Amino acid sequence: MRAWHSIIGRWRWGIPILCAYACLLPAVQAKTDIKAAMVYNIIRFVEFPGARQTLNLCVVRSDPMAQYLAALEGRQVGGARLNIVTLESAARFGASCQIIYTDSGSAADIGPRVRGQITIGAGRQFAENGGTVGLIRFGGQTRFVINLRDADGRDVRFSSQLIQLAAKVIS
Amino acid sequence: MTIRTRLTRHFYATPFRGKLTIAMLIMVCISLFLSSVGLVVVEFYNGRDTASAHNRQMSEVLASNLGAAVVFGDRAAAQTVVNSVGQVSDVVYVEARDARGVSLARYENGHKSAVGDKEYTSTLSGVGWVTVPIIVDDEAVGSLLMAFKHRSMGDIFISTLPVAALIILFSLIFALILGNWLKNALMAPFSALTAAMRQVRKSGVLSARVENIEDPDIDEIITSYNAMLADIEEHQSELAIAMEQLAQARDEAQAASVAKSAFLANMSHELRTPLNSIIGYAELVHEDLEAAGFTQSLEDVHWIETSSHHLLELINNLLDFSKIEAGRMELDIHTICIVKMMGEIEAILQPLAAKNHNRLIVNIAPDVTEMACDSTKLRQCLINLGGNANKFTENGVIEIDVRRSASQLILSVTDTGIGMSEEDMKKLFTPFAQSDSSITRRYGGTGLGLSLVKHFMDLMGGSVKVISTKGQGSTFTLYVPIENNPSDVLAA
Repeated sequence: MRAWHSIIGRWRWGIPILCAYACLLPAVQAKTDIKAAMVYNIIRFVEFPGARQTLNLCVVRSDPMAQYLAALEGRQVGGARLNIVTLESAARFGASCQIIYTDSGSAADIGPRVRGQITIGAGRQFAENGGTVGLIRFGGQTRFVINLRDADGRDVRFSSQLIQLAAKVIS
Repeated sequence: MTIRTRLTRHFYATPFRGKLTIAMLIMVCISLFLSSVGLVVVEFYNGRDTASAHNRQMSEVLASNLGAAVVFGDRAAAQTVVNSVGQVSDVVYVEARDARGVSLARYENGHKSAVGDKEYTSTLSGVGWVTVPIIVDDEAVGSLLMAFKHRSMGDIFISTLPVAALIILFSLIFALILGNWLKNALMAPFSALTAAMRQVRKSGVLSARVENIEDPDIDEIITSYNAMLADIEEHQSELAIAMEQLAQARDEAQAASVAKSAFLANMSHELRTPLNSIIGYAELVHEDLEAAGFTQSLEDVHWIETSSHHLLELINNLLDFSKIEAGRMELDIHTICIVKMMGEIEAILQPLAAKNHNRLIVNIAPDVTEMACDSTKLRQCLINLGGNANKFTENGVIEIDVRRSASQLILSVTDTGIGMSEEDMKKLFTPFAQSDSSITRRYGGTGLGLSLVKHFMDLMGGSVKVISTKGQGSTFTLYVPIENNPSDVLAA
């Protein structure tokens, strides 16, 4: 018994510290991971105008999600190949970007957009302020808001299944 | 006896027609049963395949609607989609799983919740199982499991039972009618054959023939039967001829025998006349020689006398035998005193016994006095038996016992001589047969003695019996009936 106490006593502070490190680190990683997966999943249920060989997902290099989105490089989406394009600044977002992701910026920052282009951003306000899809935190879960008005204006069609799953639909 | 063996025995005891019907009914039942079972099985698999195809389509529709819900791991949305099958009554279980097999949504229609894939794969249960992938962008992101009810073997069996029973019933009735007709058609030739056979047996006319028919199997039987009749007919006519010939031969043989016996009887009589003259003159010569004192020639004459007497005795036996054979021997019955007769017999046998150094004992029971009988023949029988006993015994004892029972006079002659074997005894009473031809050479005799005794006893209505052991002696016993005596003068 005494021996037990001495062992526990010596590691009294070691165990919680180890535990906190082990638990917190993957949690942060998991959250961003889930976001990246969500972006990919949303794109899968989006129909872009015209037949395409590739889909370009553009993100600013400094964006915290950039490295996670980079992992999606080469994935197949509705017969097209997904390219991840990292840009120096938001000003470089052009017509060749079918999907524009921004984790921190608002829809207004992205500038003028063209037909067949959607924007995905973080936060409830993103979609309400002219973004196409906004990822939100909702009761410990990551959900999304769809701005159908914006999508219709750019000839982009969302699957009814996706619409059903949306936390909110703006139309 | 078990039921099975009793049934088997009953089946074998059933007439051929009955067996035919039973066999037909059994065959009908078996074939109908097998076809019913086959139909139930086919129906079951058809039903299952149809239900399976139908539910697979429904599952595929469901799966295509589940793509987003599964991809986003949205349990509520998945549940909504899954619940949409609630209107379909034959679906009992639906489960949506993601790519890692984690259950996202589940719908159960009155089924226990812990359902495994295995539980629904049982072939005969009424529940089928389909699994379809949930595909998004040609990628399987999950799977949809669906269990559905279809008609089980038992359901199909129960629903088809009344119809099957009706069909079987009608088939049996039809089979019975058909069987009856077929039976008569099949049995007709047999019946004709049986009737023809019965006719032949009743009438006894072997020349009758059964007409041939077209059926080759039965025709063979008929041909064989006709051939058999022909054989019997032929044999019988041969037999009749043989019998006629035999009867003729027998008659001829009998006639010849009678003629021979008559000839012998006459001949014996004729032989006795000169022989009596020889004996008479030999006695005269004997007396003359004695008076003259020629003792040397006396012995020679004595031989002539003995030989002549022996010859006379032989001729007498032959005459008796011939008379019996010719049926001319008759009984001459007088009332005689048995004791006196036995005294005379003893006097005759005594010298013979003395010659072979035998002791002769005569015992007469006190209740035997006098009776009516043919004393000459009875005496001759006893002398024959006594003579034989002496002939075959040396330095022994000859014992004659006379006693009576209620109905018989019993006379037995016992010796301590050479005796006989079983085979010897069998031919003992046959004329001219001595047990061994060597005996004739050694002991003499004609072989007629015992045969005569047998004939005489038969004539008197009595019998003769012999008991003998080889090397130890023999006992001959005469049984003479008392009742058969016409004048029953017997002292008690």
